[in-house]
Amino acid sequence: MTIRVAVTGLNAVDSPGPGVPILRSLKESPLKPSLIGLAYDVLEPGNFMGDLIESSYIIPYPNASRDLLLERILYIHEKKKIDVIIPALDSELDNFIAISDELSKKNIHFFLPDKKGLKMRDKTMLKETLDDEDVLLPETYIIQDSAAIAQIAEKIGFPMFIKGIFYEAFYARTLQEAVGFFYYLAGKWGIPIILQKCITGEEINTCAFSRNGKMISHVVMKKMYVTDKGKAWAGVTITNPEVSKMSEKILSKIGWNGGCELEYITENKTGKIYLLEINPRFPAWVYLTTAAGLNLPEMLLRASLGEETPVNNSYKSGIVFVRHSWDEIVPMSYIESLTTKAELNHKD
Amino acid sequence: MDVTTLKNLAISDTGFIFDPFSGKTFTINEVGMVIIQSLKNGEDVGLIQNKIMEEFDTTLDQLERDISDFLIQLKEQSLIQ
Repeated sequence: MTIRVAVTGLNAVDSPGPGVPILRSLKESPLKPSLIGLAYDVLEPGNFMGDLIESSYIIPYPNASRDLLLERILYIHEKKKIDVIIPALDSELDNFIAISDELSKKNIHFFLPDKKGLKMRDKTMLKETLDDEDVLLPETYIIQDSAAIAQIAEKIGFPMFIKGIFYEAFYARTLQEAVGFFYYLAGKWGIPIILQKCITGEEINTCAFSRNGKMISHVVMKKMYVTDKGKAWAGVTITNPEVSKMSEKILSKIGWNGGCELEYITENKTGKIYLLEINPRFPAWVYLTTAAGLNLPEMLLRASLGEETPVNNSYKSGIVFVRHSWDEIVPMSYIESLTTKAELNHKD
Repeated sequence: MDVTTLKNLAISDTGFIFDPFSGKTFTINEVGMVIIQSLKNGEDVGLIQNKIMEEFDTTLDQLERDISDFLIQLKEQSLIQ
């Protein structure tokens, strides 16, 4: 019987969501699942990738109520009989965790972190969480008011990073720039805002799949090319035992369940490795793990279905990804279908 | 001289090098290839000099300077210690 898997995060834009690479990885899995896209907007590029998904559905934004999301998922389930949902965005996790028990009763399965784990890896809680661990963190301050920036700048200086609670980080060189970014981020994602000391160095990230705090599988990637938004546009798999060991320790400490990304920076001056943040879902470069020999989205799918997932951390280093943009030509009828019916069936 | 890192490098015939630990890539010329391969084989600098003098058209004075510069570069990239 074909497994039906629905995946969110289809916004394959300049700061891409992980949905499309998750779908691409699942497409290559021997499980041969049938794939469904869940999008927040008509123009999310993943909606139009008929070679990956059989259909796509618009779902309510994360700031809508959980009940609306539940209602919409049940509607889609009635039509498509979904077996597994893989939420791929930070901001939607709370809602999916909240409705997962009800959906389990309808035989829709998840493999999600619990609320405690989610909170422990939160940018605002990381220092507290890892206080007694041997993990370096850049000096970080959580603020509610832009007036605090000047005071903190006296301690950490400029440039500094200004980060939103969910997404986006800016490199501020002056107080004026920092204040501008504060209001931009507060308006978009709400408060608090995170101020972080700028560490200059090479960015190294880990994409991991963890089960009850046990790191089942992971791949380490060094960014080779970074966009102005700090996103990896090219990267290469590397072997870094120190980062692997640190990732294993951190995931165990937070008892992580599910996919995630740990972002590190190796300071040029000292060679010390700092943990920047932990993202509670697979990163947009997750397909690189599949290309390097470890299909992490497939592992998450198997875990969602209740299968055992043996530990496997053996991957090829030197596998490179280079992201690119592609102008897809889309029939107007697709836009019409998504706009008027909030769904698109590629097989129609 | 510790050449453990050199032993882990992926080196192609074109002189393109990938360090799987740091993710860095480098390109080296033919003489650089001879030096790196020789260091990997545990040969000392004197032996490497003789080998290059036999294969390439250079003076001992020039070669000593070039090898010394190359070793400094390898050290700066943490490829030897």
